[in-house]
Amino acid sequence: MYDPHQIKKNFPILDQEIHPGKPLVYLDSAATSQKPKKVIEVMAHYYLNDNANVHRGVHVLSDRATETWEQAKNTVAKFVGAEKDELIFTRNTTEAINGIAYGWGDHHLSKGDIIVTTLMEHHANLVVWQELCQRTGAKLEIVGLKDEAELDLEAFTKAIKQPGVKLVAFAQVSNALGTVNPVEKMVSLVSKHASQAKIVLDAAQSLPHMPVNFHDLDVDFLAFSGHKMLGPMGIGGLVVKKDLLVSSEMRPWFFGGGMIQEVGEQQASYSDDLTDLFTAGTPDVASAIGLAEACKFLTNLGMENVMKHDFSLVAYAFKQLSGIKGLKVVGPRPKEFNRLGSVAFVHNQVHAHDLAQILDSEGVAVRSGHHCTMPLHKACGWQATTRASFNVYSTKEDIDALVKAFDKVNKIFKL
Amino acid sequence: MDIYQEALVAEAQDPQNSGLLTNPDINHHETNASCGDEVTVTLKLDKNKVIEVGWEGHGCVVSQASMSVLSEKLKGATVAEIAKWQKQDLLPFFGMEEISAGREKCFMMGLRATQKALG
Repeated sequence: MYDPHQIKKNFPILDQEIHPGKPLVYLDSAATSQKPKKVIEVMAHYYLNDNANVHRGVHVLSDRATETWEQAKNTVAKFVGAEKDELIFTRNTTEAINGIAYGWGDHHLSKGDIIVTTLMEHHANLVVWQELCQRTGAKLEIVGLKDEAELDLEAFTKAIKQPGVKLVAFAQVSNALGTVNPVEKMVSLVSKHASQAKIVLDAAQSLPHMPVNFHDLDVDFLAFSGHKMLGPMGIGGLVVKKDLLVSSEMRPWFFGGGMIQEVGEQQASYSDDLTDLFTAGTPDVASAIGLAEACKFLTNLGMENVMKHDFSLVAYAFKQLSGIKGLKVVGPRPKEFNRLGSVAFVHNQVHAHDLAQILDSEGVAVRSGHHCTMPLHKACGWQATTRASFNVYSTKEDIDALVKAFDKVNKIFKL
Repeated sequence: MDIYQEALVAEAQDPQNSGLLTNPDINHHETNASCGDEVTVTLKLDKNKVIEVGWEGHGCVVSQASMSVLSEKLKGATVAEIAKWQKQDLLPFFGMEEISAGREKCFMMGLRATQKALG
């Protein structure tokens, strides 16, 4: 039985008053999730007991650190349905997507090529491609939405049918709309109409909320952030299909220590061990261990259970918030797991920042602004939205507190 | 301290000098990238002194109230004086001594826009 109240006990940070008499109601998990106590403990344990640099020592501590790091990499790779060698640790999703641009895009794109992405992308999955297009002369094509909520699959099909499509990049779950994209269908469309194109999946907002399996999804690249899935800040991952790594189609984009075979004064040869090849410099071992612990925590809960819980919160929040006068929830109406992670809304009289700050005065932490999706907000005519977002520890009572806090909004604005 | 006092909300809901001037000497548009708030300031000058102000904006009550109070304060001030104004020159109008880091950009948008316009 999935009980978020019991799960919440693993997150000490959530047990506090944020203003006198106002307990914290944390509804900003899409920006960053809180971390279970165990995640923080394993990281502290590493620094208190096992810290040494990896790979380049023969002493016991270095061996211990190396073994712990390798195990962590194995655990995280398994969690996303990949082989250990297919996972490259990065700082976050943004760095992972930049890695694709520098390690693959710069070597394979040129004038006349097309990158297809969508209007609902986070800036991380848009600005990187704008820059790559500037460098290579490739063209960026943005696929629009239907009803300001879901990807326009007809337009998507039309876009990928053009000759010259080399890269197709999209999110599995939108951070601003909560929309769950039909990844399987999109992948099959790409393999049918643009079989030469590589597929990038931004899984930053899906991995925390649903089962994700890299091999089953059959995408070429998958990017994610640890801190949104109960892990520490400063670690994330880029998963790359093994044949792209083995064939050197995907190349390292960071160079220096740890990734070399032999170094001369004017040139160097690089490691044939794939993990070493993509680990230039000292890795963040403690964060890798913390992320692995977060993966274990989620595995113990069961990602199917996590998804069901999350969807029930999204559906409940959508219904409750839609009942508030003047409020419109943006994104798709919840139905059969078509929406996960968050509900964002606009008020017809109160600005998003004002809403967020008044809600905060009642202890409710939400986010306001464009959520790193400026083109989406502009296209939909929203100056800014306010977003409540969830994770494994979120409860219906949290949503009730959010709804109740609107009494104060109404009082201040005399609505 | 709760910034949503009646004075601030009332100021934003019934702003002073709202509406653009028809033949301004200066017309400047400014946006706040972090939240999408925007303001257009129009000014008429007599030598180095502001004599008329009109503005239009969309945004939170903090940015709108701040711009409203500023628009009244601008009248009669010299360009050199305005260039020196800081948040401390506006906070007392709302009975505030400080503004949180998260809202400072909202609060300062009007003043920054005006200073850029005159700069």
